[in-house]
Amino acid sequence: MAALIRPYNERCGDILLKFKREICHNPYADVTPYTRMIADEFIIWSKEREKEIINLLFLDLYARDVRSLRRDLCKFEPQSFLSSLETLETSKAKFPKRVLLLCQLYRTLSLFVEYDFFGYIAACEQIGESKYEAAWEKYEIARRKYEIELILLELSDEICLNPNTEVSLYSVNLIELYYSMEKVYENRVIKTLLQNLYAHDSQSLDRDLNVKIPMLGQVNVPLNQRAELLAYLYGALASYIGEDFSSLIERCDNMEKIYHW
Amino acid sequence: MTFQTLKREHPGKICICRPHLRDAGSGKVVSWICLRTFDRVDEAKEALKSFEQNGVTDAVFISTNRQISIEGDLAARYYRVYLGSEQ
Repeated sequence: MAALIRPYNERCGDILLKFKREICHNPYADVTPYTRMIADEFIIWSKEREKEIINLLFLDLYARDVRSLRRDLCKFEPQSFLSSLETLETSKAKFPKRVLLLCQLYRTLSLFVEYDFFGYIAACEQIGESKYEAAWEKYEIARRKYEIELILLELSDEICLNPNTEVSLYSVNLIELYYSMEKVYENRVIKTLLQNLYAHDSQSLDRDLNVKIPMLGQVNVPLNQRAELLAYLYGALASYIGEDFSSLIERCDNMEKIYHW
Repeated sequence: MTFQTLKREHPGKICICRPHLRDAGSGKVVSWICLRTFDRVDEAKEALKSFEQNGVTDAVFISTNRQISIEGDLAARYYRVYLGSEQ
């Protein structure tokens, strides 16, 4: 965690030092450009976090067998898989082995959602309410910028009183603000996954999560089915991954180097 | 990912890519699947060899910010993959 915080702290700190210099030069300087810079940093960090979660799900699916995962990713043809999904109508038809997939990911998903899948089950019926989601996203962006601006205005007042004000405390405040929002981005990845696997079928999701999967317990995915489940996982998260497997393959390479597999 | 998307997502990097979509008429690659990114050409070349040893024979590397001169087998591979001459 310390290694993760420091890069964020440095990046925030650089922006705040520039801001401090500007305020010392002009106490009435506009904070908007700095609000935007920090908001852009938050977006970069949230995208990195999303990639981490997605990488973790793929690694779980393959039980950390990074060689097989890399091999199957390199052979995978996303376009032909996505095209095959278009010919199928229901989510059950598209992902017939979704229970097996969720079994493998259940423990990790449970940790992220703190064993409370209720909201995600309800969300399965809400696909298509894009106006609501778009409005919510607009609100979140506006709220994020507002909270960043409050911190910058406080720092600006402090600098006007004392030009030697340390920015580090405000940097920490900004990072805490980011972490308070990070859960939203994590939840969105999981919601997308479950919505795509169980679109409009919240009853099946409820039954599978609360009855079938606990009954099945820990299931080792047969090796010959992993590639098929990889395709499912890709299909459910294609909006995040697109055609860019570089983060995941890099993770596999780094893990292989660390463990000398 | 189109080349423009590669440039936007991985500025200043050398990307190891496989073909994703081809133009129906010419057969040329119009979209790539990005497998890995590197900062240096020599690292990308080593990784390309490693991919080949693992059975990925249609990967090439693409720089998003500068022209890299390639020759010999690498050049032949690039044209084979990009033009789809074995399609």
